[in-house]
Amino acid sequence: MTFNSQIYFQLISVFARREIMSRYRGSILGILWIVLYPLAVAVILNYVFSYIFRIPIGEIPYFLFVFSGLVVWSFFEQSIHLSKDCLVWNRELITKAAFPKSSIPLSYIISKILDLIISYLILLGLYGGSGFSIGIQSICLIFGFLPLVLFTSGIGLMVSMANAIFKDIGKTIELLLMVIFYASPIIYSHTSVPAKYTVLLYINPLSLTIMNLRSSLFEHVFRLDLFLLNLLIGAISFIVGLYLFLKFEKKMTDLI
Amino acid sequence: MKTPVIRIDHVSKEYYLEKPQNIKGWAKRLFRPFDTYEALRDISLTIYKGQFVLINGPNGSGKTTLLKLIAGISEPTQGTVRTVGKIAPLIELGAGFNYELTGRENILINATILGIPKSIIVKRTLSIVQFAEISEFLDVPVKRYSTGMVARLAFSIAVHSNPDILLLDETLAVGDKSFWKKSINEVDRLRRSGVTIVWVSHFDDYFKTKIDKVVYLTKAKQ
Repeated sequence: MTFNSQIYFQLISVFARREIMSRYRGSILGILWIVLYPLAVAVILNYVFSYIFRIPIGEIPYFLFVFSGLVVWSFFEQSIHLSKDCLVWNRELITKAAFPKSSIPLSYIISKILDLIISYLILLGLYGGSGFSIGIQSICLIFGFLPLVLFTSGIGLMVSMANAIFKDIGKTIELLLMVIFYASPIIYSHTSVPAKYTVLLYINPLSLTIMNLRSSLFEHVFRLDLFLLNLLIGAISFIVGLYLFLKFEKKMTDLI
Repeated sequence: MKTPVIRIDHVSKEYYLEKPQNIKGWAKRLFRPFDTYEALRDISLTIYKGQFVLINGPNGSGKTTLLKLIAGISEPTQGTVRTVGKIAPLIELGAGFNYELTGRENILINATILGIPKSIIVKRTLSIVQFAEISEFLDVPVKRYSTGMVARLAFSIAVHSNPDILLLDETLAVGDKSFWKKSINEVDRLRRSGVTIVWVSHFDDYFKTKIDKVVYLTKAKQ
Protein backbone atom coordinates (compact mmCIF):
# COMPACT_ATOMS: atom_id res chain seq x y z
CA MET A 1 0.00 0.00 0.00
CA THR A 2 1.49 3.30 -1.01
CA PHE A 3 1.11 6.32 1.19
CA ASN A 4 1.77 9.73 -0.28
CA SER A 5 3.48 12.43 1.73
CA GLN A 6 0.28 14.39 2.25
CA ILE A 7 -1.31 11.46 4.06
CA TYR A 8 1.94 10.80 5.93
CA PHE A 9 2.02 14.31 7.40
CA GLN A 10 -1.69 14.10 8.09
CA LEU A 11 -1.05 10.88 10.04
CA ILE A 12 1.65 12.56 12.12
CA SER A 13 -0.51 15.58 12.86
CA VAL A 14 -3.57 13.48 13.69
CA PHE A 15 -1.56 11.24 16.04
CA ALA A 16 0.13 14.24 17.65
CA ARG A 17 -3.23 15.90 18.26
CA ARG A 18 -4.54 12.64 19.67
CA GLU A 19 -1.56 12.45 22.03
CA ILE A 20 -1.94 16.03 23.25
CA MET A 21 -5.69 15.74 23.68
CA SER A 22 -5.71 12.38 25.43
CA ARG A 23 -2.81 13.34 27.69
CA TYR A 24 -4.86 15.97 29.47
CA ARG A 25 -8.37 14.66 28.89
CA GLY A 26 -10.15 13.86 32.13
CA SER A 27 -8.00 16.18 34.22
CA ILE A 28 -9.78 19.29 35.49
CA LEU A 29 -7.08 21.78 34.52
CA GLY A 30 -6.70 20.07 31.15
CA ILE A 31 -4.50 21.74 28.59
CA LEU A 32 -3.47 24.38 31.18
CA TRP A 33 -1.00 21.81 32.52
CA ILE A 34 1.24 22.48 29.53
CA VAL A 35 1.85 25.97 30.98
CA LEU A 36 1.44 25.20 34.68
CA TYR A 37 3.97 22.40 34.85
CA PRO A 38 7.07 24.25 33.60
CA LEU A 39 5.97 27.35 35.51
CA ALA A 40 5.81 25.32 38.72
CA VAL A 41 9.26 23.88 37.97
CA ALA A 42 10.64 27.40 37.60
CA VAL A 43 9.05 28.54 40.87
CA ILE A 44 10.48 25.55 42.73
CA LEU A 45 13.93 26.13 41.23
CA ASN A 46 13.74 29.78 42.19
CA TYR A 47 13.03 28.98 45.84
CA VAL A 48 15.61 26.23 46.07
CA PHE A 49 18.42 28.19 44.47
CA SER A 50 17.69 31.67 45.83
CA TYR A 51 17.09 30.74 49.46
CA ILE A 52 18.56 27.32 50.16
CA PHE A 53 21.42 26.61 47.77
CA ARG A 54 23.18 29.77 46.77
CA ILE A 55 25.44 29.19 43.83
CA PRO A 56 26.93 32.38 42.42
CA ILE A 57 27.14 32.25 38.63
CA GLY A 58 27.70 35.80 37.44
CA GLU A 59 24.82 38.22 37.24
CA ILE A 60 22.26 35.73 35.95
CA PRO A 61 20.10 34.26 38.74
CA TYR A 62 21.07 30.63 39.05
CA PHE A 63 17.48 29.38 38.79
CA LEU A 64 17.14 30.99 35.36
CA PHE A 65 20.43 29.44 34.38
CA VAL A 66 19.23 25.95 35.39
CA PHE A 67 15.79 26.51 33.93
CA SER A 68 17.34 27.40 30.56
CA GLY A 69 19.09 24.01 30.57
CA LEU A 70 15.98 22.19 31.71
CA VAL A 71 13.89 23.60 28.85
CA VAL A 72 16.11 21.68 26.43
CA TRP A 73 16.60 18.66 28.66
CA SER A 74 12.89 18.14 29.43
CA PHE A 75 12.03 18.08 25.74
CA PHE A 76 14.66 15.46 25.06
CA GLU A 77 13.97 13.34 28.11
CA GLN A 78 10.19 13.32 27.78
CA SER A 79 10.36 12.62 24.03
CA ILE A 80 12.64 9.65 24.58
CA HIS A 81 10.39 8.32 27.33
CA LEU A 82 7.36 8.54 25.06
CA SER A 83 9.21 7.01 22.09
CA LYS A 84 10.36 4.11 24.21
CA ASP A 85 6.82 2.92 24.88
CA CYS A 86 4.78 4.36 22.03
CA LEU A 87 4.91 1.33 19.73
CA VAL A 88 3.92 -1.00 22.56
CA TRP A 89 1.01 1.28 23.47
CA ASN A 90 -0.17 1.17 19.87
CA ARG A 91 0.25 -2.56 19.39
CA GLU A 92 -3.40 -3.07 18.38
CA LEU A 93 -3.08 -0.51 15.64
CA ILE A 94 0.27 -1.82 14.43
CA THR A 95 -0.87 -5.42 14.12
CA LYS A 96 -4.25 -4.62 12.61
CA ALA A 97 -3.84 -1.67 10.28
CA ALA A 98 -1.55 -0.92 7.37
CA PHE A 99 0.16 2.48 7.54
CA PRO A 100 3.71 3.83 7.92
CA LYS A 101 4.57 3.01 11.52
CA SER A 102 7.31 5.65 11.77
CA SER A 103 4.50 8.19 12.06
CA ILE A 104 3.84 6.94 15.60
CA PRO A 105 7.13 7.83 17.36
CA LEU A 106 7.49 10.98 15.24
CA SER A 107 4.04 12.19 16.25
CA TYR A 108 4.81 11.74 19.95
CA ILE A 109 7.98 13.78 19.55
CA ILE A 110 6.20 16.47 17.53
CA SER A 111 3.55 16.68 20.25
CA LYS A 112 6.34 17.63 22.67
CA ILE A 113 7.40 20.63 20.57
CA LEU A 114 4.39 22.48 21.96
CA ASP A 115 5.72 21.95 25.50
CA LEU A 116 9.20 23.00 24.38
CA ILE A 117 7.98 26.29 22.91
CA ILE A 118 5.78 27.07 25.90
CA SER A 119 8.53 26.45 28.45
CA TYR A 120 10.90 28.52 26.32
CA LEU A 121 8.40 31.39 26.30
CA ILE A 122 8.10 31.08 30.08
CA LEU A 123 11.89 31.30 30.30
CA LEU A 124 11.86 34.45 28.17
CA GLY A 125 9.12 35.91 30.36
CA LEU A 126 10.99 35.19 33.59
CA TYR A 127 14.23 36.54 32.16
CA GLY A 128 12.60 39.73 30.92
CA GLY A 129 10.64 39.97 34.19
CA SER A 130 13.90 39.85 36.14
CA GLY A 131 14.94 43.11 34.50
CA PHE A 132 17.18 41.80 31.73
CA SER A 133 16.80 42.81 28.10
CA ILE A 134 15.80 40.22 25.54
CA GLY A 135 17.58 40.46 22.18
CA ILE A 136 16.37 39.51 18.74
CA GLN A 137 18.77 36.53 19.02
CA SER A 138 16.38 34.92 21.47
CA ILE A 139 13.63 34.93 18.88
CA CYS A 140 16.03 33.29 16.40
CA LEU A 141 16.42 30.51 18.89
CA ILE A 142 13.04 29.08 17.89
CA PHE A 143 14.95 27.95 14.78
CA GLY A 144 17.86 26.95 17.01
CA PHE A 145 15.66 24.16 18.29
CA LEU A 146 15.41 22.54 14.84
CA PRO A 147 18.64 20.49 15.24
CA LEU A 148 17.47 19.40 18.68
CA VAL A 149 14.16 18.18 17.23
CA LEU A 150 15.96 16.32 14.41
CA PHE A 151 18.39 14.70 16.84
CA THR A 152 15.62 13.70 19.25
CA SER A 153 13.54 12.27 16.38
CA GLY A 154 16.43 10.14 15.16
CA ILE A 155 17.16 8.76 18.61
CA GLY A 156 13.44 8.37 19.30
CA LEU A 157 12.92 6.29 16.15
CA MET A 158 15.76 3.95 17.11
CA VAL A 159 14.68 3.67 20.74
CA SER A 160 11.04 2.95 19.86
CA MET A 161 11.99 0.14 17.49
CA ALA A 162 14.60 -1.33 19.83
CA ASN A 163 12.26 -1.34 22.82
CA ALA A 164 9.43 -2.93 20.83
CA ILE A 165 11.72 -5.89 20.07
CA PHE A 166 13.98 -6.09 23.14
CA LYS A 167 12.31 -5.21 26.42
CA ASP A 168 15.73 -4.83 28.09
CA ILE A 169 16.29 -1.63 26.19
CA GLY A 170 13.82 0.20 28.43
CA LYS A 171 15.95 0.03 31.57
CA THR A 172 19.16 0.70 29.66
CA ILE A 173 17.64 3.89 28.29
CA GLU A 174 16.79 5.12 31.79
CA LEU A 175 20.42 4.72 32.83
CA LEU A 176 21.75 6.31 29.66
CA LEU A 177 19.45 9.29 30.16
CA MET A 178 20.96 9.82 33.59
CA VAL A 179 24.46 9.77 32.12
CA ILE A 180 23.47 12.24 29.40
CA PHE A 181 21.89 14.52 32.00
CA TYR A 182 25.17 14.88 33.92
CA ALA A 183 27.25 14.96 30.75
CA SER A 184 25.34 18.00 29.46
CA PRO A 185 25.83 21.50 30.87
CA ILE A 186 22.36 21.72 32.42
CA ILE A 187 23.04 22.39 36.09
CA TYR A 188 26.58 23.65 35.48
CA SER A 189 28.14 26.00 32.99
CA HIS A 190 30.01 24.74 29.93
CA THR A 191 32.93 26.96 31.04
CA SER A 192 33.45 24.81 34.12
CA VAL A 193 34.21 21.72 32.01
CA PRO A 194 37.94 20.81 32.03
CA ALA A 195 39.71 21.51 28.76
CA LYS A 196 40.37 17.86 27.90
CA TYR A 197 36.63 17.07 28.01
CA THR A 198 35.35 20.05 26.03
CA VAL A 199 35.16 17.93 22.87
CA LEU A 200 32.29 16.10 24.57
CA LEU A 201 30.33 19.35 24.63
CA TYR A 202 30.69 19.76 20.90
CA ILE A 203 29.50 16.31 19.86
CA ASN A 204 26.44 16.40 22.11
CA PRO A 205 23.45 18.14 20.47
CA LEU A 206 21.92 18.78 23.90
CA SER A 207 24.92 20.76 25.08
CA LEU A 208 25.23 22.50 21.70
CA THR A 209 21.60 23.59 21.97
CA ILE A 210 21.96 24.70 25.58
CA MET A 211 25.17 26.62 24.87
CA ASN A 212 23.53 28.41 21.96
CA LEU A 213 20.43 29.14 24.02
CA ARG A 214 22.46 30.66 26.86
CA SER A 215 24.65 32.62 24.50
CA SER A 216 21.62 34.03 22.64
CA LEU A 217 19.66 34.83 25.76
CA PHE A 218 22.31 35.97 28.22
CA GLU A 219 24.92 37.45 25.87
CA HIS A 220 22.78 38.36 22.83
CA VAL A 221 24.99 36.33 20.49
CA PHE A 222 23.43 33.70 18.26
CA ARG A 223 26.21 31.16 17.70
CA LEU A 224 25.86 30.21 14.04
CA ASP A 225 28.89 27.89 14.28
CA LEU A 226 27.27 25.88 17.08
CA PHE A 227 23.98 25.90 15.20
CA LEU A 228 25.45 24.53 11.97
CA LEU A 229 27.44 21.82 13.75
CA ASN A 230 24.32 20.90 15.68
CA LEU A 231 22.26 20.80 12.49
CA LEU A 232 24.75 18.43 10.91
CA ILE A 233 24.70 16.02 13.88
CA GLY A 234 20.90 16.29 14.07
CA ALA A 235 20.46 15.53 10.38
CA ILE A 236 22.77 12.50 10.56
CA SER A 237 20.94 11.19 13.61
CA PHE A 238 17.57 11.62 11.90
CA ILE A 239 18.64 9.90 8.68
CA VAL A 240 20.24 6.96 10.51
CA GLY A 241 17.24 6.63 12.83
CA LEU A 242 14.73 6.66 9.99
CA TYR A 243 16.79 4.23 7.93
CA LEU A 244 17.02 1.70 10.78
CA PHE A 245 13.35 2.09 11.58
CA LEU A 246 12.25 1.45 8.00
CA LYS A 247 14.58 -1.54 7.79
CA PHE A 248 12.96 -3.32 10.73
CA GLU A 249 9.43 -1.95 10.35
CA LYS A 250 7.86 -5.06 8.77
CA LYS A 251 9.65 -7.49 11.10
CA MET A 252 8.46 -5.55 14.11
CA THR A 253 4.80 -6.28 13.34
CA ASP A 254 5.35 -9.96 14.17
CA LEU A 255 7.63 -9.39 17.14
CA ILE A 256 5.93 -6.65 19.10
CA MET B 1 -11.06 -8.11 -19.45
CA LYS B 2 -9.91 -9.57 -16.19
CA THR B 3 -7.37 -7.49 -14.30
CA PRO B 4 -5.57 -9.21 -11.46
CA VAL B 5 -5.55 -6.99 -8.36
CA ILE B 6 -4.20 -9.45 -5.83
CA ARG B 7 -1.50 -11.90 -6.78
CA ILE B 8 -0.26 -14.31 -4.13
CA ASP B 9 2.65 -16.42 -5.27
CA HIS B 10 3.86 -19.47 -3.30
CA VAL B 11 3.41 -17.71 -0.01
CA SER B 12 4.33 -19.23 3.34
CA LYS B 13 4.13 -17.48 6.69
CA GLU B 14 5.77 -18.53 9.91
CA TYR B 15 5.20 -16.93 13.28
CA TYR B 16 7.44 -17.16 16.31
CA LEU B 17 5.66 -19.18 18.94
CA GLU B 18 7.58 -17.55 21.70
CA LYS B 19 9.13 -14.31 20.85
CA PRO B 20 12.65 -13.93 22.23
CA GLN B 21 12.18 -11.43 25.04
CA ASN B 22 15.74 -10.53 25.92
CA ILE B 23 19.22 -10.33 24.54
CA LYS B 24 20.16 -13.69 26.04
CA GLY B 25 17.27 -15.23 24.16
CA TRP B 26 18.46 -13.66 20.94
CA ALA B 27 22.00 -14.89 21.51
CA LYS B 28 20.76 -18.42 22.03
CA ARG B 29 18.82 -18.17 18.84
CA LEU B 30 22.04 -18.16 16.91
CA PHE B 31 22.52 -21.77 17.95
CA ARG B 32 18.98 -23.03 18.36
CA PRO B 33 16.32 -21.32 16.29
CA PHE B 34 13.08 -20.61 18.12
CA ASP B 35 10.08 -22.76 17.57
CA THR B 36 8.01 -21.39 14.78
CA TYR B 37 4.45 -22.01 13.78
CA GLU B 38 3.66 -22.30 10.14
CA ALA B 39 0.42 -20.41 9.66
CA LEU B 40 0.33 -20.70 5.87
CA ARG B 41 2.15 -23.08 3.57
CA ASP B 42 2.70 -22.52 -0.12
CA ILE B 43 -0.43 -20.57 -1.01
CA SER B 44 -0.89 -19.30 -4.55
CA LEU B 45 -3.95 -17.32 -5.46
CA THR B 46 -4.97 -14.69 -7.97
CA ILE B 47 -7.95 -12.44 -7.39
CA TYR B 48 -9.32 -10.27 -10.19
CA LYS B 49 -10.86 -6.84 -10.10
CA GLY B 50 -14.45 -6.84 -8.91
CA GLN B 51 -14.43 -10.40 -7.65
CA PHE B 52 -16.14 -11.42 -4.47
CA VAL B 53 -13.98 -13.97 -2.73
CA LEU B 54 -14.91 -15.95 0.34
CA ILE B 55 -12.17 -17.36 2.53
CA ASN B 56 -13.37 -20.27 4.55
CA GLY B 57 -11.82 -22.80 6.87
CA PRO B 58 -11.66 -23.91 10.50
CA ASN B 59 -10.24 -21.81 13.32
CA GLY B 60 -6.47 -21.61 13.16
CA SER B 61 -6.22 -22.37 9.46
CA GLY B 62 -4.64 -19.01 8.69
CA LYS B 63 -7.55 -16.95 7.36
CA THR B 64 -6.66 -13.79 9.25
CA THR B 65 -2.98 -14.29 8.45
CA LEU B 66 -3.84 -14.37 4.77
CA LEU B 67 -5.81 -11.11 5.11
CA LYS B 68 -2.91 -9.46 6.95
CA LEU B 69 -0.54 -10.47 4.18
CA ILE B 70 -2.85 -9.04 1.51
CA ALA B 71 -3.26 -5.84 3.54
CA GLY B 72 0.52 -5.50 3.83
CA ILE B 73 0.38 -5.49 7.62
CA SER B 74 2.87 -8.32 7.82
CA GLU B 75 5.30 -9.80 5.33
CA PRO B 76 5.37 -13.36 4.03
CA THR B 77 8.26 -15.55 5.16
CA GLN B 78 8.47 -16.90 1.66
CA GLY B 79 6.88 -15.94 -1.65
CA THR B 80 5.43 -12.64 -2.79
CA VAL B 81 2.17 -10.74 -2.40
CA ARG B 82 1.38 -8.06 -4.95
CA THR B 83 -1.67 -5.83 -4.89
CA VAL B 84 -3.03 -3.01 -7.02
CA GLY B 85 -5.14 -0.19 -5.62
CA LYS B 86 -6.22 1.10 -2.27
CA ILE B 87 -6.95 -1.48 0.39
CA ALA B 88 -9.30 -1.03 3.33
CA PRO B 89 -8.67 -3.83 5.80
CA LEU B 90 -11.21 -4.50 8.54
CA ILE B 91 -9.27 -7.05 10.54
CA GLU B 92 -10.79 -6.14 13.84
CA LEU B 93 -13.55 -3.62 14.30
CA GLY B 94 -12.44 -0.69 16.34
CA ALA B 95 -8.73 -1.53 16.38
CA GLY B 96 -6.97 1.74 16.84
CA PHE B 97 -9.91 3.55 18.37
CA ASN B 98 -8.88 5.76 21.23
CA TYR B 99 -11.63 5.34 23.80
CA GLU B 100 -10.93 8.66 25.52
CA LEU B 101 -11.53 10.59 22.31
CA THR B 102 -14.86 11.36 20.68
CA GLY B 103 -16.41 9.67 17.68
CA ARG B 104 -15.52 12.64 15.48
CA GLU B 105 -11.86 12.56 16.54
CA ASN B 106 -11.69 8.81 16.03
CA ILE B 107 -13.21 9.12 12.56
CA LEU B 108 -10.40 11.52 11.67
CA ILE B 109 -7.72 9.15 13.01
CA ASN B 110 -9.10 5.96 11.50
CA ALA B 111 -9.91 7.47 8.14
CA THR B 112 -6.38 8.93 7.98
CA ILE B 113 -4.96 5.46 8.58
CA LEU B 114 -7.06 4.32 5.63
CA GLY B 115 -5.40 7.05 3.57
CA ILE B 116 -8.16 9.62 3.12
CA PRO B 117 -7.21 13.33 2.94
CA LYS B 118 -8.56 15.45 5.77
CA SER B 119 -10.79 17.67 3.61
CA ILE B 120 -12.62 14.61 2.34
CA ILE B 121 -12.94 13.12 5.83
CA VAL B 122 -14.59 16.29 7.08
CA LYS B 123 -17.04 16.17 4.17
CA ARG B 124 -17.90 12.52 4.76
CA THR B 125 -18.16 12.59 8.55
CA LEU B 126 -21.89 13.18 8.46
CA SER B 127 -22.65 10.28 6.14
CA ILE B 128 -20.31 8.03 8.13
CA VAL B 129 -22.21 8.62 11.37
CA GLN B 130 -25.58 8.47 9.63
CA PHE B 131 -24.74 5.09 8.18
CA ALA B 132 -23.45 3.90 11.58
CA GLU B 133 -26.64 5.27 13.20
CA ILE B 134 -24.71 7.16 15.87
CA SER B 135 -25.35 10.76 14.77
CA GLU B 136 -26.27 11.94 18.26
CA PHE B 137 -23.07 10.43 19.72
CA LEU B 138 -20.66 12.11 17.31
CA ASP B 139 -19.05 14.28 20.01
CA VAL B 140 -19.25 11.74 22.84
CA PRO B 141 -16.11 9.82 23.91
CA VAL B 142 -16.04 6.35 22.39
CA LYS B 143 -15.71 4.80 25.86
CA ARG B 144 -19.42 5.62 26.31
CA TYR B 145 -20.35 3.67 23.18
CA SER B 146 -21.81 0.18 23.22
CA THR B 147 -19.89 -2.63 21.49
CA GLY B 148 -22.37 -2.53 18.63
CA MET B 149 -21.92 1.20 18.15
CA VAL B 150 -18.13 0.87 17.99
CA ALA B 151 -18.46 -1.94 15.44
CA ARG B 152 -20.91 0.01 13.30
CA LEU B 153 -18.70 3.09 13.32
CA ALA B 154 -15.59 1.13 12.32
CA PHE B 155 -17.43 -0.63 9.50
CA SER B 156 -18.92 2.62 8.29
CA ILE B 157 -15.50 4.33 8.15
CA ALA B 158 -14.07 1.46 6.10
CA VAL B 159 -16.84 1.42 3.51
CA HIS B 160 -16.71 5.20 3.22
CA SER B 161 -12.98 5.15 2.42
CA ASN B 162 -13.52 4.47 -1.31
CA PRO B 163 -11.37 1.34 -1.33
CA ASP B 164 -10.44 -0.65 -4.42
CA ILE B 165 -10.12 -3.74 -2.27
CA LEU B 166 -12.14 -4.33 0.87
CA LEU B 167 -10.88 -6.97 3.28
CA LEU B 168 -13.39 -8.15 5.85
CA ASP B 169 -12.49 -10.44 8.69
CA GLU B 170 -15.34 -12.14 10.55
CA THR B 171 -16.41 -8.75 11.73
CA LEU B 172 -19.84 -8.30 10.29
CA ALA B 173 -21.40 -10.67 12.79
CA VAL B 174 -21.23 -8.02 15.52
CA GLY B 175 -24.16 -5.76 14.78
CA ASP B 176 -27.80 -6.66 15.17
CA LYS B 177 -29.91 -8.16 12.42
CA SER B 178 -30.95 -4.90 10.80
CA PHE B 179 -27.43 -3.51 10.73
CA TRP B 180 -26.14 -6.80 9.40
CA LYS B 181 -28.63 -6.54 6.51
CA LYS B 182 -27.60 -2.96 5.87
CA SER B 183 -23.91 -3.90 5.89
CA ILE B 184 -24.49 -6.77 3.52
CA ASN B 185 -26.38 -4.45 1.16
CA GLU B 186 -23.54 -1.95 1.33
CA VAL B 187 -20.95 -4.62 0.58
CA ASP B 188 -23.08 -5.75 -2.33
CA ARG B 189 -23.37 -2.19 -3.63
CA LEU B 190 -19.58 -1.79 -3.46
CA ARG B 191 -19.15 -5.10 -5.27
CA ARG B 192 -21.40 -3.98 -8.10
CA SER B 193 -19.44 -0.75 -8.39
CA GLY B 194 -16.30 -2.75 -9.07
CA VAL B 195 -14.73 -3.06 -5.62
CA THR B 196 -12.89 -6.32 -5.00
CA ILE B 197 -14.04 -7.95 -1.80
CA VAL B 198 -12.27 -10.58 0.22
CA TRP B 199 -14.46 -11.87 2.94
CA VAL B 200 -13.53 -14.25 5.74
CA SER B 201 -16.51 -16.07 7.10
CA HIS B 202 -17.91 -19.37 8.24
CA PHE B 203 -21.26 -18.43 6.82
CA ASP B 204 -21.86 -18.14 3.11
CA ASP B 205 -25.66 -18.37 2.94
CA TYR B 206 -26.23 -14.71 2.17
CA PHE B 207 -24.02 -14.59 -0.83
CA LYS B 208 -24.14 -18.09 -2.20
CA THR B 209 -25.21 -16.81 -5.59
CA LYS B 210 -22.83 -13.88 -5.71
CA ILE B 211 -19.54 -15.41 -4.64
CA ASP B 212 -17.06 -15.73 -7.50
CA LYS B 213 -14.47 -17.78 -5.70
CA VAL B 214 -14.19 -19.74 -2.48
CA VAL B 215 -10.79 -20.28 -0.90
CA TYR B 216 -10.88 -23.12 1.56
CA LEU B 217 -7.97 -23.29 3.96
CA THR B 218 -7.30 -26.48 5.86
CA LYS B 219 -5.26 -27.10 8.94
CA ALA B 220 -2.10 -28.93 7.92
CA LYS B 221 0.12 -31.00 10.16
CA GLN B 222 3.07 -29.08 11.53
